[in-house]
Amino acid sequence: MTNFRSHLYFLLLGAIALIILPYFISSRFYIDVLTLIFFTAYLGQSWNILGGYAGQFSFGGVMFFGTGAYVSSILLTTFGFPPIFGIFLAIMGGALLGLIVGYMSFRSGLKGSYFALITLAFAELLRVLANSVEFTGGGVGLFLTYAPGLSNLQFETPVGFYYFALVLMFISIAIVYWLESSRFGAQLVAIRENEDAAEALGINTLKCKIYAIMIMGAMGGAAGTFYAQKYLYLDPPIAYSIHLSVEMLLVTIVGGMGTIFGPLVGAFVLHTVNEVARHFIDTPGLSLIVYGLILIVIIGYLPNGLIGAFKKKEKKSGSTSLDKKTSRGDS
Amino acid sequence: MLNVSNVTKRFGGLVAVSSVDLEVNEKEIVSLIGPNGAGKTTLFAMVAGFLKADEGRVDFENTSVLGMRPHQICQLGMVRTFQITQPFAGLTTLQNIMVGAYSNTSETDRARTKAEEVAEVVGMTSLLHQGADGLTVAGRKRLELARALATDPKLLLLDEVMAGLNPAEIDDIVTVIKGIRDRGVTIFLIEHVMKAVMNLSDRTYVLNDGKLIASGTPASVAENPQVIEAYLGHGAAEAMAEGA
Amino acid sequence: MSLIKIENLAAGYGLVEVLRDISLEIEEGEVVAVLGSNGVGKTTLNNCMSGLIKPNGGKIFFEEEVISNKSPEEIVDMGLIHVPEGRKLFPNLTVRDNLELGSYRRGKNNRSTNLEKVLEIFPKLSERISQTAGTLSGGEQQMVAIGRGLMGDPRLLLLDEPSLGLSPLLVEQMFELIKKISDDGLTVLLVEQNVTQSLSIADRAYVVEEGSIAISGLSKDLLKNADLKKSYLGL
Repeated sequence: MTNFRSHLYFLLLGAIALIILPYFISSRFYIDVLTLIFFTAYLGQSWNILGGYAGQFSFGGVMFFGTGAYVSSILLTTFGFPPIFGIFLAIMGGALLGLIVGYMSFRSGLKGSYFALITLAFAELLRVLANSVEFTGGGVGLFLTYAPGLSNLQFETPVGFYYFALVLMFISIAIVYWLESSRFGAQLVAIRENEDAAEALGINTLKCKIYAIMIMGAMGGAAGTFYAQKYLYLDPPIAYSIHLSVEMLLVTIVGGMGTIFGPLVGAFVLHTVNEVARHFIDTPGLSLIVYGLILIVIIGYLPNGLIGAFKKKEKKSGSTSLDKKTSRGDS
Repeated sequence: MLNVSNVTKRFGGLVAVSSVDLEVNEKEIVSLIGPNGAGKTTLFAMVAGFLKADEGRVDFENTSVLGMRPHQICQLGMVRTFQITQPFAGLTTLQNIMVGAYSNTSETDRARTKAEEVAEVVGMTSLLHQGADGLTVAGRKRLELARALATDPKLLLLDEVMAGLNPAEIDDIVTVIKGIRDRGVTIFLIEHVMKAVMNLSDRTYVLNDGKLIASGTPASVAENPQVIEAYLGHGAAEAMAEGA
Repeated sequence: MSLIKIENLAAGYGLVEVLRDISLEIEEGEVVAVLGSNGVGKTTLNNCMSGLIKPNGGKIFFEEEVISNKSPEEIVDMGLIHVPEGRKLFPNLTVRDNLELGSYRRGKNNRSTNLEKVLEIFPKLSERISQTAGTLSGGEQQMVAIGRGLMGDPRLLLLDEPSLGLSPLLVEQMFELIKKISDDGLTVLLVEQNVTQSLSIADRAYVVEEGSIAISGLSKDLLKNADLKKSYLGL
């Protein structure tokens, strides 16, 4: 937390750089890549709050994204409800889903792998439901009309979406920044480090975990609307398949769980690696193989992610931020 | 302040704790002792809210805490430490203690000030910015104390806080515990380090095989033949008396 | 020459120092008890002797040879056999298998003879010889554990809290059996919490307190010693 003062200037510079960057890039392709990076970083940050800070690893993060996407899209296609308001309902939908899933899982005391599996199951359940129900368009999906305009949250050029994603990402960073210096953040970290001790010290661990997953859900919901308005098509596989769940946890783990910039760093690295790999090898599904390998390497050698490895080089004793250190000592 | 009446706990066919009554009054240091396997930890867990009693009542300041979750009990003013220390390993000492302080305030600055205060009481000021996972055993025990103290408890439950400490460290921590009591905190502890606990407690309860076999001042309890037999075995009391 | 000599032993687990300065001797044929209040380090002492943990300081001699740096297998080969706390049987193996495993290294050549002898000492086990060890009662399991130790032709048998978890009647029987085994000439180091029973069968005893030997002497003297009570009760 004290690091921040000195780093504030760099951050401001970085933010300004990202804001003015589109004026220097003419290629749509690169704008799109960056947009995707911000989008993934944003989703990663939502995972980071529940996973990196509170220590509860979800494998079903996509469910909030998909639900949010469906909420705003159905409201749009059925009632003509403008996405600029629809996004807030998507956020609420995501939060509500988080509440339900969180309450059911945490109240039953599910932790660790069990919790991960149940979130995976919920996402799958939603995918099957979306496939079988009329109002989601079933297997056919939903087609959204192309109609650029702010109320539609649609933009004529990719640059519009670039800024949309950038705003989302900035908001996500602000949320985590607040978390790092707030009581709620300290409570989440306490739960991550030692849930029994946290409980004994007066922390309502159930409530805190549910709040964390609701924030994750709310954030995911907004991401869903973003995606729907950018690609104008939504179906159950897009909304609920595991790829996005994996990506959001991967970028955070690679970048550094429980850090403010972990997801962003991870998103940059992963997408760059992906693009480079695609340039040389033209196989579909390659990205997943590459992701898998990276995950193995990072978890094996750099469990605190890239940021963690960088910090270890700098520091000598103790740490002053809230990222998780793997402690090999026994107590 | 704390009233335990007729508390019983069974695990299947085994009665771990059987109809135990005990009480702790304000500003006292009361200990719970007994040979290995007597049921002390089970009883302690029921008082602290980590285990639910099958029968009986546990009342803290006239409010029943049976079935309450530990965090609710903490909010009422009763806090426990853990025998096997449970530091928040990835955080510094200061951050650890702040977690305790946060139970009474939501402001970060107030929590930090409180944590620094408490660290002084416990003698950890020099270790505030050290990572908790780098502390020695004695350091971790103090951290447990500090964290609990930061919640401003009325009653502190100490679970074998002296286990794993060498004699000098034990003396240190006894001083700290006395200091905590002097600040107005009531203390209830389980302990195996007999010399220390008998000299520290105002009163003590002795548990054997799940039942309360004696209570009173340490001096009187140490002379109690049932207690002697519980620790040394059948016939020990007579042998002692013979030799005396 | 003592069978076992321990000089200034210091040992512990990681940061926790349990034993600071232990010195004791055991002569061949003796039954010696090591007593002390809970958590004082009795099991740590046994673990050091059988090589399961390495001491931080001091030496252990077995017949004048240093064993504190030897591996557990080497120590077993020399005849120092440890019957661990809590029995530690192989619950899914039969009683016979458990016993025979005791002569895996030492006593290989006398396996059947030893098995016969063990079953003589613990006749109840003959009935249960093909049962899986996990289905036996606490007392029977303890017998299997001790029997397993005997299968290795021990020169010194280390018994770690054999009465733990046994009913008072069984405890008495257990101690009688131990006395019987030792009467045949076996040297026994008995680490126990049950003071009176231990002192009734041991020749001598040491009391560990705060990491070193606080009291030692003949059993019959020790039980009347008020310091013994102080060691256990603090007052």
